[in-house]
Amino acid sequence: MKGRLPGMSSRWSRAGRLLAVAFVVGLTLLTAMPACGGEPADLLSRPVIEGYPLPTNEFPQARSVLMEYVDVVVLVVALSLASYFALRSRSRRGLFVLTLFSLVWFGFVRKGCVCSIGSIQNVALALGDPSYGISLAIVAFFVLPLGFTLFFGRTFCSSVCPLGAVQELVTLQPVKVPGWLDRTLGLIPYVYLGAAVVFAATGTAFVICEYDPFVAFFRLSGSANMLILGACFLVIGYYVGRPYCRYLCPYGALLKLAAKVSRWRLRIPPEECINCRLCEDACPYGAIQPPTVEQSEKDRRAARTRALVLFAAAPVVFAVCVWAGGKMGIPMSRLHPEVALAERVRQEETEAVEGTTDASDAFYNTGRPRQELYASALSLHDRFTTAGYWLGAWVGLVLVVKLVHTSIRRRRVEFTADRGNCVSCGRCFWYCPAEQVRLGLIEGVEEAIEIRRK
Amino acid sequence: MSQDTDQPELPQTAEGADPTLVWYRAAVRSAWVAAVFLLIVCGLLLVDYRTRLDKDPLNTDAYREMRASVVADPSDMEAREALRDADVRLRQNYFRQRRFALVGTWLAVAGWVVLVVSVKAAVTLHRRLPAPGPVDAPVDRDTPQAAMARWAVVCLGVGLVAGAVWLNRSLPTELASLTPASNRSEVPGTTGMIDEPLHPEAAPTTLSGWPTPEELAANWPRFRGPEGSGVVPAMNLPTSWDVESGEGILWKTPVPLPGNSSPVVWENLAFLTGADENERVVMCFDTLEGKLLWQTEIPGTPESTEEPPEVMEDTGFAAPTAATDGRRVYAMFANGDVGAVDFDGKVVWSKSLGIPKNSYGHAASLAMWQDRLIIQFDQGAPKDKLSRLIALEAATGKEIWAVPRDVANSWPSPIVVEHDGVAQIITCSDPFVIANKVEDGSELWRCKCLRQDVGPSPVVVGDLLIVANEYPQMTAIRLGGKGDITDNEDLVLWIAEDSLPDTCSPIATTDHVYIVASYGLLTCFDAKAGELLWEWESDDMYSSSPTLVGDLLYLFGLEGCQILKPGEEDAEVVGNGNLGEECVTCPAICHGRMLVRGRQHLFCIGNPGEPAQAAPAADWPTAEELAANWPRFRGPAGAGIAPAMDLPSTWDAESGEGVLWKTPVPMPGNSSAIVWNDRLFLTGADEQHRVVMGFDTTGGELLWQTEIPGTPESTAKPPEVMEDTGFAAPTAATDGRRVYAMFANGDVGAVDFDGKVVWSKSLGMPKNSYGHASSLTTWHDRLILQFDQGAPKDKLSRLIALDGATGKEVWSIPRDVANSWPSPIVVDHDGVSQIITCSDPFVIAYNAEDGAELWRCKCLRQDVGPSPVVVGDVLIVANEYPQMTAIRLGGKGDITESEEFVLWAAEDSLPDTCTPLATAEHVFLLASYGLLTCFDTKSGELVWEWESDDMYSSSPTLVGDLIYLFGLEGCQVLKPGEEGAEVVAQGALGEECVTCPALHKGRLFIRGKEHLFCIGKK
Repeated sequence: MKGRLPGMSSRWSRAGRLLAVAFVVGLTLLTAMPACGGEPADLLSRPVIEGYPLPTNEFPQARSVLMEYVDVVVLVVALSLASYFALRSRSRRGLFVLTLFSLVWFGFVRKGCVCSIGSIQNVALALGDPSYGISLAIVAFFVLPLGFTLFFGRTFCSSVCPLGAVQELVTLQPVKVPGWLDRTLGLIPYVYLGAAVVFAATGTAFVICEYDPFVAFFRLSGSANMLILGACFLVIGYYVGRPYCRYLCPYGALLKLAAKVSRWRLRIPPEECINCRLCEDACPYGAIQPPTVEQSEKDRRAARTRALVLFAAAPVVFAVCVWAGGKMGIPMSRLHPEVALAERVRQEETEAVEGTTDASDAFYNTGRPRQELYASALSLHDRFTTAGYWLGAWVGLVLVVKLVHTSIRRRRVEFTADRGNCVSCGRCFWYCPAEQVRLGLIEGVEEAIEIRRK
Repeated sequence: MSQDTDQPELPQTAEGADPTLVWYRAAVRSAWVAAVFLLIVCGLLLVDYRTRLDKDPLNTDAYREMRASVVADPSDMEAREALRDADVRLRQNYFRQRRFALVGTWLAVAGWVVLVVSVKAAVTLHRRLPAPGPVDAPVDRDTPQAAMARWAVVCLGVGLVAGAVWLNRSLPTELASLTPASNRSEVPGTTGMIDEPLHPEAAPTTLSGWPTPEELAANWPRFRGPEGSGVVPAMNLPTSWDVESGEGILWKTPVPLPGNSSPVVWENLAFLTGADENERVVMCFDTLEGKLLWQTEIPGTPESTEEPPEVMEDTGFAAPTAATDGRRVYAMFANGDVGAVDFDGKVVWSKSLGIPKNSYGHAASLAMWQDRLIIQFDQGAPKDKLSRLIALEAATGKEIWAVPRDVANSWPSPIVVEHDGVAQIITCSDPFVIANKVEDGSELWRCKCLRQDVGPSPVVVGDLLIVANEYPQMTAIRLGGKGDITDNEDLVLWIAEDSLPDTCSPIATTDHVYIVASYGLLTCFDAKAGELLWEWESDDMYSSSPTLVGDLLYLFGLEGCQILKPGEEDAEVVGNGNLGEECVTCPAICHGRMLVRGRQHLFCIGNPGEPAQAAPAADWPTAEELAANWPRFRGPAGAGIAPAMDLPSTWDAESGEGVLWKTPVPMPGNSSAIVWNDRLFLTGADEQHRVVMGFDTTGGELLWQTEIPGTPESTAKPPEVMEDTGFAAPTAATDGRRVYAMFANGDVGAVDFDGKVVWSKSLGMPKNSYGHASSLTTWHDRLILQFDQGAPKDKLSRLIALDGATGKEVWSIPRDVANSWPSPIVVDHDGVSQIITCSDPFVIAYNAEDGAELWRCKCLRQDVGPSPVVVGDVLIVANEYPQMTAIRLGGKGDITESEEFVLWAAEDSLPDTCTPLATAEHVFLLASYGLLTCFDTKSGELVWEWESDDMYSSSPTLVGDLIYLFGLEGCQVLKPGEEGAEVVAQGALGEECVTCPALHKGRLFIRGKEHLFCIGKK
């Protein structure tokens, strides 16, 4: 067992693999089980036309509550396995297999729903509207990955999330995104998160689900626009690793925050880093950070001054963002169906537009007074303006923290995976000579470096 | 071969027979094949998609033609068959296309999988360890990266902010014009637009949503009347009736379904609820003839109607009394079903609150506040946590809020009262009395003073709440508490433990509280101290709460009704009535009739000779009517403030510029003009005659002048008055029904709009050193007179309320003040209408209802001329001596030393005659020698002064943001600012003016020494 970590027995590895196989086989059997329950009856009596064969009605099966709990169990097992493979057995192969499984199960079998990313909205709506009932399964999908991340880093992203999985598979010729651009684009998920929470909590829309680029693939149907969007993400993903995860995923933003304080996390070398630089460009997601270089006293002073200035400017940035957020209130409210209807009805009333829409026709047919609709829309305006201020405050906070963050220098003495950005995919393992020594493939780290020099 | 293994793929240097290279090439070729295949499949799918989008087969010309021909001639079997064939073909084609798309999708997925696997394999096989070159000197890449990142983040932030602003500008809301700034919206059922704020929180009682207080007062919208108090003003009702002889019974109608709920009445319609185990209905009766107009079943849910709730027979299935807001009638039943029915009997909405866990059956009646239906839904024991207080949107039944209550099941009905500007719902239960804010249901205060089965409902008189139950006590609570007030001696005023009621709710007046125990004991308590005054016993049994009509108590027992006249020491039976059947409900009394529900019938009791008033009977103007006119000295509220009007910037009576008309006034007088619709009224008098004059506001024509006849005493010799005051200084008042006038000799009278004297009387020659000058005001149907005379020791001064229709004295309160000249005003505060008077030396506020003194403040001295004005809850009183004082309304007793209520005092530039002008920001004082002074309303600080050469007896008037000052020589129009005032217009009447203008419909009416002028734009 040359090169293995102390305590990393082959028994553990075997046990892990057995568990994984049993898990996959069990699930396959479960999926193959026939659906329970009889055929639902026609809701309306159907006319009988002689000589004319009526097509048979098709009824979609109701979503089974049992399956929700199966999903939760699968999620727990998958998260446990992902954490085991990433941190304990350091098995890229295990993670890869799990990635394929998650793509098939959570993606194609369960058709991308329920998913942790979308569960943010259910939780937000439940908080914003006490009358909204949220299922325990959805709560579990929201909480469990966060909980695992707090302990083991972003192992959910590595091989459990179907959206991450599909991107992971197409990351074939990654190019390095410049650090400054990566950091800046990395703020967008926070903005998206804030907006999604506002729209969900106000009962407007579940935008994360509506604009999920991959769900159309999972369901093998969807609007052409969404299919094209998904295809674009996959094509971009060929060159830029996990573009959705890194630059859009709102749940990834939450996991990033949780991962920063995780108890354990993936390490590139199994033991001490020898700074051989072989892993320098190994991460397609730009998560590997080289050791820092000592700054001159002059640079340190300049950095301190800059940090102070940014700190002082923070309230102004924050205030501007709050103000701008307030401005967003009314435009955002137009996504709410009630406000959209009120706007349309008002336009029709003032003859700003010609004709009516289906929605406005339906509204007129209800006999509901226009005044009531307008009052309701105005009340929603107020609600959205308040929500806009909160969104502005959130974005302001994110910008301020990022600005201050970029001005604070942390010392690194070895190559490390950035806590927040590392998605625990394990791609870097192969590059580390210490890992090859651990696996018994070479005698010592010098061997790998020597081979490379040849 | 998998590309991701734990085995590192070491670099391949040899070519030729190397199997890795063979695999690599195979992978690359597979990838190409898969990519081309994927492209072809995707291309075909896209083409198919486009084709399907472009060619909707149901819209092809051929298909449409076939369909049209079948529609035109349905008997053409050939065409029908052809259409059917075409339809089948189209369907088959559609499903073929779907299969094509599905197969194509799977092929695309397969191609994609092969592509990904091949490329992945090729990449892995070609994988090489990097070859990092030697690094001579470590390079700091972090610093420049961080610097660029900072700028990028800044750019992103700027972009986001710019995006937000751009979105805000490019997506303006069409609803912006509907914001409260313009206050324009549509009233349901009409196409026109009216002034009405849209935001519900800002919406006052207006035409659309809910009834005005006047409408509520004129009807019987809920259990025990408008306020749930069981107290009704005096009414000419019979004091005896008998169903067998028909005496006193106007009609009697069988009620189809049983129920212990009481009737509610709106105009000519009476509503009852009834229910048995299977059915729950609302019934509507015509109050004039008693005809059952409709009965409508409230539909329940399958759960609520599956099996009937367990109720006691005494409670029944329809114990809660309905409520109405004049738009709909709302009903609730023992199974927790609640619903709304319109006045045509159509169900507007219904819902189930769930079957209540109630040991006797749910009985709490419904209450309403504005657009909300309030339901006290107490159930089970406190530990069950089932009880709730619920507010539903009356129009839709949607829940606005529901707050849990830690109380047991109980049977009282909630009431809604306003105190300190906050509307609160008061509920009784075991063990708490709880007050919740109507706005959001939040709890204001609670008091633990009830126990066991709580039946009687709470009642409020003024700010005194009375709650009672058989156990443990009756409690008097002063409103205004916060939190748990159980042990607060300032708020829990007294308790009484004798003869407590188990079912019937109390009656409370300012002096007495009456309670009825079910075994027939009526007990009277002193409302102020809670002392038992007397008891009266009957042989009957009572479940119906007592009702006080004027000074008569109506007690409906199982066997009959007793009518009592309660006194200070006992009650005297003045009559009784017999319905011929048991009665456990409370009567509904309005429009001169009493409707009462017996076990089987609905009865109408009244005097046959007096036809019921079909319309709301409130014989006084609504607040809106008053606001639309100029009914008294200095306008509706006596504030001298009118909304902005487009008046001419200059006028000159001689040239006629800006003057619409000018009419000579036949009798002199220093009283000002008042206006109601198109009529203007003035009073005039000399030593012999006292007249009221009616003018047409359109052309200024004098329509009539009517002399108010005096008594031999009052007209024997003219009063001694100063020339500056004259014989007709008090400005008249009108309530739209009559014009009321008063003169220096103490004569007062009412004239109708056609100039006929309705009544007149003499109050006695006032002992007044300059001549009586206090103007009149009205409140509801009453005329209020401040009749201050002599010195305090003479005890001659009085405040008098006369019945406007008859001139009869309603009440008269002595005042320990000297003769004075200000005019009283009436303001509403804390739900109490108070009359505020200025005099030497007190400002005194009285309850308009009964004349009881509310508070007083000693802050005036010597000859007091200026009248009080109120802005918000701040009262401004001023006089030349000693000061101007700002007083916060809401005090009790003598508040002279109260820093809480006496907000500030100012001693500069004080006025001797002219009444102040007060706005939320500024107070303006005008001294007769021409000094206008501006003070800060909040602090009393002097802001600026402005001086004129003219002399002033006329109080300033604010029209929009312009102050009109009518001096002896002319009128100055000022625009006051933060630092001074600017003269923006001037006018000349050509004669002296000492009166105040009346503003109405864009015109200004002003009385000069000899003429009446109308100033406005043509």
